Amino acid sequence: MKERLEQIRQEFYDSLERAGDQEALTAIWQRVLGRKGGLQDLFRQMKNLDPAERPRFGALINDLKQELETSFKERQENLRRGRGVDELDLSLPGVPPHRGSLHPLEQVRQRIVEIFSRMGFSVEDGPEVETTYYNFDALNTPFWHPARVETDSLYLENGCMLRTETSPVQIRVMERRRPPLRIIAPGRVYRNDKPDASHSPMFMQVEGLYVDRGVTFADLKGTLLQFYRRLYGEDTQIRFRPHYFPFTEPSAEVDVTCMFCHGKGCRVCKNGGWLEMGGSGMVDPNVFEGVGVDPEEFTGFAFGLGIERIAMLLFGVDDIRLFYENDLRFLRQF
Amino acid sequence: MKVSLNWLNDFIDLSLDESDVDELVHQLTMLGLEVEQVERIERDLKGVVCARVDRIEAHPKADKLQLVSVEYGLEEPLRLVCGAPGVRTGMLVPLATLGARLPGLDNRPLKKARIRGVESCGMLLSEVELGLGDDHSGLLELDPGRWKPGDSLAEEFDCRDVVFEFEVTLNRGDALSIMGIARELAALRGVELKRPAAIPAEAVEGPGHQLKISIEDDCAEGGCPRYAGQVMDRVRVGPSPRWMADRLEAVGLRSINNVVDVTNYVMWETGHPLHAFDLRQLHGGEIRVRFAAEGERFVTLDGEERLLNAEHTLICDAERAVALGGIMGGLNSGIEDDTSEILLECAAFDPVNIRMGARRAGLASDSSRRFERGVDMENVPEVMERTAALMALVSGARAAGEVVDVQPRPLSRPPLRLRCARVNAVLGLELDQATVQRHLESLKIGCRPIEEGLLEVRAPSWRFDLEREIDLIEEVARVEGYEQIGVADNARVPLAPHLDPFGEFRDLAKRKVQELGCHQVSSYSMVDPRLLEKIDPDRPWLKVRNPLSEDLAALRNSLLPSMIQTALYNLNRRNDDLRLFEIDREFHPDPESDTGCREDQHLVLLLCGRRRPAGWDGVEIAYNFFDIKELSRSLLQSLNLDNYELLPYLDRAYSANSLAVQAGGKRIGQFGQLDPPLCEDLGTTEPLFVLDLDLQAAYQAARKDRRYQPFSRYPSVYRDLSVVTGEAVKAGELEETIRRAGGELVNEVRLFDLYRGAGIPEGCLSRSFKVCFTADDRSLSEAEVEPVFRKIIAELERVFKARLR
Repeated sequence: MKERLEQIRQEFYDSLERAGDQEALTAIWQRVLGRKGGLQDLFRQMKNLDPAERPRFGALINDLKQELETSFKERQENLRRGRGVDELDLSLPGVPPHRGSLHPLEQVRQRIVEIFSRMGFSVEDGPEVETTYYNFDALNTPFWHPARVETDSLYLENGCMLRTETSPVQIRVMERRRPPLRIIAPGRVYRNDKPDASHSPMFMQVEGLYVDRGVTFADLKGTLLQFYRRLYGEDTQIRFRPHYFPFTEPSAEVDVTCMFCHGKGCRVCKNGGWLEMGGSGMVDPNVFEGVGVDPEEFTGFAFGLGIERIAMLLFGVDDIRLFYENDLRFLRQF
Repeated sequence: MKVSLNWLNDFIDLSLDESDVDELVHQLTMLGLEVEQVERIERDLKGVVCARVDRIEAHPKADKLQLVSVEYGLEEPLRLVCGAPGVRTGMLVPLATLGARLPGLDNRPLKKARIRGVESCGMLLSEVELGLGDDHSGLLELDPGRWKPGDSLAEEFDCRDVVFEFEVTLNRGDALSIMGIARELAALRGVELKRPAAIPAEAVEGPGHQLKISIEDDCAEGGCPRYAGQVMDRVRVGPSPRWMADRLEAVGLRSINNVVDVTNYVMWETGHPLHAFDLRQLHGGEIRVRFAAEGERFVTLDGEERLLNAEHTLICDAERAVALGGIMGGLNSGIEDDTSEILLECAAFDPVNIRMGARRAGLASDSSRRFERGVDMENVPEVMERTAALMALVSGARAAGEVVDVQPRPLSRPPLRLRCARVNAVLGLELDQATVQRHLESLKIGCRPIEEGLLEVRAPSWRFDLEREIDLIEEVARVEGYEQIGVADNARVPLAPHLDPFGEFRDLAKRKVQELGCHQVSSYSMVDPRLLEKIDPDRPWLKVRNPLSEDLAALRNSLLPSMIQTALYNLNRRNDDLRLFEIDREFHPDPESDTGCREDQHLVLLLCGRRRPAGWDGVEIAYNFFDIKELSRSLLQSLNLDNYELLPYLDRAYSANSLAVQAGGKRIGQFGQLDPPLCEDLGTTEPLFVLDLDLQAAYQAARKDRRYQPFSRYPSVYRDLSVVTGEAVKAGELEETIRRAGGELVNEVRLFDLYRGAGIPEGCLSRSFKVCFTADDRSLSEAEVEPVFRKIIAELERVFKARLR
C-alpha cells in the first residue's frame, strides 16, 4: 500500500513535468486525481485493510491528494501564464542597443570640474593658439628658457604658437577681471614630443588660480588636499616638494600617496609610495605686476594638473596613445 | 646630475653610509633636489691576487687555449687553462682563486672547471671580469714596481659606493656639484662644510712662465667677466689613479687621462668647469678673450667645424682661436700623450651668452650646462688651487708661475630686504625673525637685522637665483620644510561662480550625443595638410613651423578630416559599425585676432556600417541618410533648437544627399552622406554619414528657455490615407499639405508606406499616411473628422493631382 502511494507520486510528478499543454494536464488529472483516478482507487482498496490501519492510511492518502492537487494547480497556473508566447531558444544572443560613451578624458575632465566647482572655482577658457607673450613673457619665463626652443614647443608660421600650458588663461582672465578670482581652466596643450607610451604631442591640463587678499601657501595645500581626496579617496595624503617654475614662487611639485598600495610602495609608484601629480606654487609677483595686480595687496596660488595622468591612474591605462587612437574597442569600455 | 656618497663624505662630516640612503633621498627630495635614481656600486675582489706567469704550455686538445702555471704566493704553483692572447712568462696578472666573486661575471663564486679535458682551478683576468673597464683584448698587466705575487687586489680595487641621480631644476646651477649638494645637506643637518685635504702643488723656483691674459672690453661685459690661468710644467700624461677613475665612472664620466680627468673631477666637485690647453700649441704665450666674428668658423675638440656668430666667446692665443669659451676646447690645442706643459683655464662666462651660444652651435657639454646656469665667480682662486693640487698629485706637475687672474669689473650685487611679516603672509606660517634669520644663515645667506621685522640680506656668490624678496621667502620655506606649512581648511566663503553658459551648452551637447548612442573620440588638433587640401582646398589653414612630422603639420580647420581618419583607423581594424562624435576646436586664420587665429567649437558626428549588424534573425540594417537625418533632428531638439530650416546642401566633401541646417538666417551646420569619390580616394568604399554642427552658432540659435507643451487629454481619431502622385512630388510636400488642409485638428502625420509597382501607373508613387486628429477640449467623433478628412483629400487632389488608392 505504501509503495503504491510512492509510485503514484512519482508517476504524477514525472508526467506533470512533461506536460506541455492543458490537454496533457487534463489527462494527468483524470489518471491520478479524477474520480476514476489512482488515488480514488486507493480509497476504494482501503476496505481490504485491517480496520485498525484504515485511519492511518486514509490520512496518508489525503495528505498526498492535497499535495498533488497543489502542485497540479501551480503547474496549471504556470502553463496558463506562458500561453500565447512562442517557445524561444533563450540562449540566442540579444539584440544590442546603441549605448554611447563619453571619452575617458572627458569623463575625468567633468569629474575635476565638478569637484572644483563645488569649491567655488569657475570654469574659464582660453585659446589654444597663443602668442608667446601670453605663453611665456607674461608668465615670467625668461627669453633664454629652454621651453621656448623649437625642440620643446610647437610654433605656427604666423609667429604664434600652440600653448604649452593652460597657464596663459591665468593672464587672460586677470587682464579681464580684477581679484578676487577663483578659476580653473581645463584644455588642450601642446609640446614638441614624439608620441610614445608616456608622451603625446597634445594632452590635457587643468589650470587653477586663486587670487585674493591673504591667500597663503597653506590655502594651496588645503585646496589640493581636498581635491585629491575627493578624486582618489579620503585616506589620500599629499606632499609638496620644492621645485622651479617661472610663474610661481615658492614653487612645488605635488605628490599624492599611491592609490594602488596606499603609500606602502608598489610597481606603479616604483616603490616610493608617492605619485607625482603636477606643479603648483604661489603666483610670482612679476606675473601680478604684468597684469596690473598689486602683489603687496593680493597674493594667490596657481596649479596645473594633467588629465591624462589622472585618467591613466584611474582606469589603469598604461599607454597615453590609447586616448588619441580612438579605437572603438577602447572607447566603448567607458 | 650624479653624486657619489663617498665623494660627498669628502665635503661633509657626517660619515654617511648605506644605512643613511633612504633618509637622504627623502630629505634631499623634500629640499627640492629630487632623487630620481639610486644606484649601488660594489666591487669586492676578495680572493683575487697578483700572480706571476711562470710557464706556458700548449693545451693538448685546443689550439687557442694554453696551460699556464702561475706563482701566487703559495708554495705550490697553480696550473690553469687560459685563452687570453699575449700571455708571456714573467708577467704579473690578476688571478681569481676559487670562490672569488667577479663583478664582470655577475658576482657568482668562481668554480673549478674542466676545459677540454683539463682541470682549471682559477682564472686569469682582464679589466672586464674585474669590472674595471671594457678592455678585453688581453689580461690586465700589473705593474711589477707596485705588485708582487700573492698580493691581494682588494686593497686597491675594492669599491663600495652609492650613486644618487638628482633632477636639478633650472634655477639651481649651484647644486650641479658635489659641493653644492653637500652645502644643501649641511644646511639641512646643521653641520659645517669641510674641504678635502690637498697638498698645494709644488712651485718652480723663480718667476716661472710669464703668461699674459686679456679680455676685450665688450666681451668682459656680456661674454667672459673673469679669466684665470695657471701654467704647469713637468706634466706626465697617463692613466688616472684608480680612485679618481672610479669616482668619475661612478658619476657617469669616462676616464680619459690624468690631465683631462683632473679638470672633470674638479668640475664635478665644485661645479666650476675647467679647461687644460697644451701650452706648446698656445702661440705667443698669451690668452685673449673676444667675441667671435659673425660667420667665423672653429673646429672643436670633437672634430666638428662650428659656425659661430658675434655672440660666441672665443679664447684665442696671439694668433688664433683655441677654444669656444665655456662650451668646448679646440681641436688645435688639446692635451696629447706627450704634453708636458699645460695651461689650466678657470673662467666665468655669462650664463645667457653660453645658453644661446650652445644652442646656436647645437652643442651642449657638461661645461656649457654649468655655465648657462651660472657658476660661482668668486670661487675662481679656490677652484684653481684645488685643480693645481690635484694635477700635481696625479701627474707630478709643478706650478710654473703665479695664477694670472683677470676680472675687469668686480661683481657687485645689491643687498636685498626681507620682511618677516611677508614671509608669513605668503607661506601661511608664523615664524619669528630669529627663525627666519637662522634658516637663511644655514644656507650661508648673510642677514643683518635693520629694524624689527626687517632683514638686510646678502645672497652668497653661488646663488644667482636670489634676486628678490620672494626668492628669499622660498628659501625660508625650503629650510623650514613644505611639510611644516599647515593645511588651510578652505573655510573661506566660496566666490560666486562666474557663469560659463556656452561651456554648459557644449557639455550638454556631449551628453545628448552620448545618449543617442554615440562614442566620443578625441583626436589631435594637428592633421596632415594633404588631407585638408583634399577635403577642401579653398579653406585656409594654419601651418606649424616646426611640426613633429609632415602629417602633423597643419592645424585642422574642420573636425571632419580627423573624423574620417578615425573612421578609417577603425575600419582597418575591423571595427565596422561606427557611431562616433567629437566636440572640439577648429582653427581658422584670422588676422583680426591677437593670436592670428579664430577657434570655433564644432560637433562632428559620423555613422558608418550598420545600425543593426546581421543577426540570427536575418535582420541587417545598414546606415542610410535617414539615420543621420533623424539623429540630427533628435539632437537639435534635445539642444532646444526647433526653429530651423533644412535646405539643400552640397560642397566638396558632401554629396547631393545632404542638407544644411539653417537657423536665424545662418547655416549652423549640415548633415548627409560624404561624397563617395572623395571617400574612395581617402581609402574607403563604405558610405559615411556625417553631421557637422557649429556649436557656438547653435548656442546662439537655441531657445534659452524650455517650455512644457500641453497635450490633449481626449482620445484621438486615426485615419489612413494612401495617395498616388507623380514621383516628383516630395513626401514633405504631401505632409505639409495634409497639415495645412486639416487645420488644427491634425495632430500627427506619419508616412508608413511607400510603394511603386503593380497597380500603380508608371512614373507614379503611392504613399500611405496615418493621420491623427485630436482636439484639446473634447473627444472627436468620426462624424466631426469626416469633413476634415474629405477636405484633405480634395486638397491633395487639387494640388498634386493625387488620387486615392
